[in-house]
Amino acid sequence: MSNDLEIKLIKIFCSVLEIKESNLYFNMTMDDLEKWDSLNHMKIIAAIEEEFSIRFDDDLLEKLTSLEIIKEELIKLI
Amino acid sequence: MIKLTLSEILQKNTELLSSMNGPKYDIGIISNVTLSPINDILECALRLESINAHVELGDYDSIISDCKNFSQKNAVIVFWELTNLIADFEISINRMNESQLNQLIERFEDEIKFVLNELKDVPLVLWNKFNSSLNSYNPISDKTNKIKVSNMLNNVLQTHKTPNMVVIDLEKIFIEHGINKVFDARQFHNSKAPYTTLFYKDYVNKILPAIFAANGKTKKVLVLDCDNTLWGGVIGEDGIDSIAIDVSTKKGEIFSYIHEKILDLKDQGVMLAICSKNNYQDVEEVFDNKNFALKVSDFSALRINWKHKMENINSIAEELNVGLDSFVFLDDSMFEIDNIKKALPEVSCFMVPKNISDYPKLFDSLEQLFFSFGATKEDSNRTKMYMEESKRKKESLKWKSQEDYLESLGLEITILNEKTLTIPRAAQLTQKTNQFNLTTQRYTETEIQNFISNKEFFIRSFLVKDKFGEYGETGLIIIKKDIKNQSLDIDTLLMSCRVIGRKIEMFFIDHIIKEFIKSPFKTIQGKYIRTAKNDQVKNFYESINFECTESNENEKYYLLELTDYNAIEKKFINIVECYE
Repeated sequence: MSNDLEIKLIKIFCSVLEIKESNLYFNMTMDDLEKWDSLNHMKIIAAIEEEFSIRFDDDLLEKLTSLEIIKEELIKLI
Repeated sequence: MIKLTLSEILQKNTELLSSMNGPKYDIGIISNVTLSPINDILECALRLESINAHVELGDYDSIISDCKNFSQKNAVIVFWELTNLIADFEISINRMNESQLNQLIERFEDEIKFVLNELKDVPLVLWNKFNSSLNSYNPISDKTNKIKVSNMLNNVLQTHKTPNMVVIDLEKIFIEHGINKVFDARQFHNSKAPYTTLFYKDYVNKILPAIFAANGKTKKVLVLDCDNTLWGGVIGEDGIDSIAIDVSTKKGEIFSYIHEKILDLKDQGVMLAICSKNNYQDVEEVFDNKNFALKVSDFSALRINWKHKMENINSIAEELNVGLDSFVFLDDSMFEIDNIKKALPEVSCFMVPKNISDYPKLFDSLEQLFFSFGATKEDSNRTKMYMEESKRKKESLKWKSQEDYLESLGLEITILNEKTLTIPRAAQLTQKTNQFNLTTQRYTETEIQNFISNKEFFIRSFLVKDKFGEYGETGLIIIKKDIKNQSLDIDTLLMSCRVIGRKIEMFFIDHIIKEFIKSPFKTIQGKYIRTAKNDQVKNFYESINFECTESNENEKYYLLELTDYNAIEKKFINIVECYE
């Protein structure tokens, strides 16, 4: 389950940020990835919410600043 | 398109970019809210249809400055959201008194007029109506200021609407999906981004036909089955008394409504055709019934036989001289739909819904596919013209050679100049003509008007008639004059497919060249720009003795010294000028 989720997440990040999968690691944060700006953050959230049919709460939106955090919060919701 | 997820769309869009060739189609989106990723979704949808689209999102809440920056785009989309009209709009709007409200309306009335004026030369403007539905849920509220502002601003929009503009009613999309599915209060609060991915996908879907129309990609022919498509029941089995054809039965009521919709499409210029596995006499019996709203004469082509539908649709395409990608096919049989989808993938296929009460809704979406910018006189005459065309084709069998046949037609072409040609028709010809079109430049009415008033351009169109009827304005040439170098450059040369095959193009260009023979101009240049559809004219300039000076895979350039020109022998055609 967790593995399948990771694959989907990586796919989303790569398509939004237009980077190769080999350049993406789960310990990366918004600060590590230049293209992960506020506009792309919205795209990432929209793509994740669509892919997993979930919805993050208001307060979470700004806290989802690393792949690891996103994964953790996502697991709570599905 | 709508089936792809956002992540798939983003990936696909990047892939498609590298495979795009053909001219760029630039779209700008101006708005007072955040709209990303609408740009990626729109780009992807258009690139999937081979339109090399580049969509630029304007800056947040910079409508006034962006409309200036975007005045050179091929199309501009306007998202002007009432709920963010001014900062804290939702908080302040209901506290405003009459005079504050009027002041607000006046300010935005001026802004709207300013933007309209800045965008007046953009070939296509898609402008969303102001809506009071976002952030308002109470149906019994008496706080009407918001509704008042929205109505007043929409009035301004409707009153000052320019011909290049299509007004879009977003509330129709809200209703279709429900406001909670399209509006994201959370992201609006967070980033002033009001809409969901679902909304963007459907919005893009709904505006595509308008963008296709601006790219000369409109659907032109509706091919209809008969049994359970034009009436309820099977005529060959049930008989005329038992099928549902008019308002006398419940089922028939729906078909009557469909008949009206079909006739509306015909009035818009859509060509109708029948393709039905039936005995001709049976179908004729229905059409002869006085209660049946459609007449045989409403149709441009009939194929009532037991052949494969694929074969019939191919032969309709040939008879009407229209490409299969302009065809829409409607049938009640899954089997026929599947067959056509496989054999003729260019044709858009639709199945009559199982529940007949859903049929009107299907027609609404068909109407969207056939979107066109206001019908012109030629459109409503089109069915008549195509009936005349089939008479002509029959006539052509009686003659031994093509020249014999052309001789018998009694062809007459009337050349129109900048004073006598019809501007909307000239613009439409540039937008819709794909086959006989040397350069495929698309122009709006405003651009045509500019050619006419600019002394550096020479423009002529022509009307064609023969003993069977009139074809209307069916050809156009636009020449740029380089006075300093005494040279002419043919920017546009096109002819509607209705009049192909009569050598009219030869006599037309001959006439135009002769107008310049005694002028100070010494040379005339032409070019051929390859598209997916204009292969038939790739050697046109060779055929009239222009010399090819340069060519590559996609373009060919030509030159003719005017002193070297040999006029062609005038046969079987009468040419008159109508220059006043």
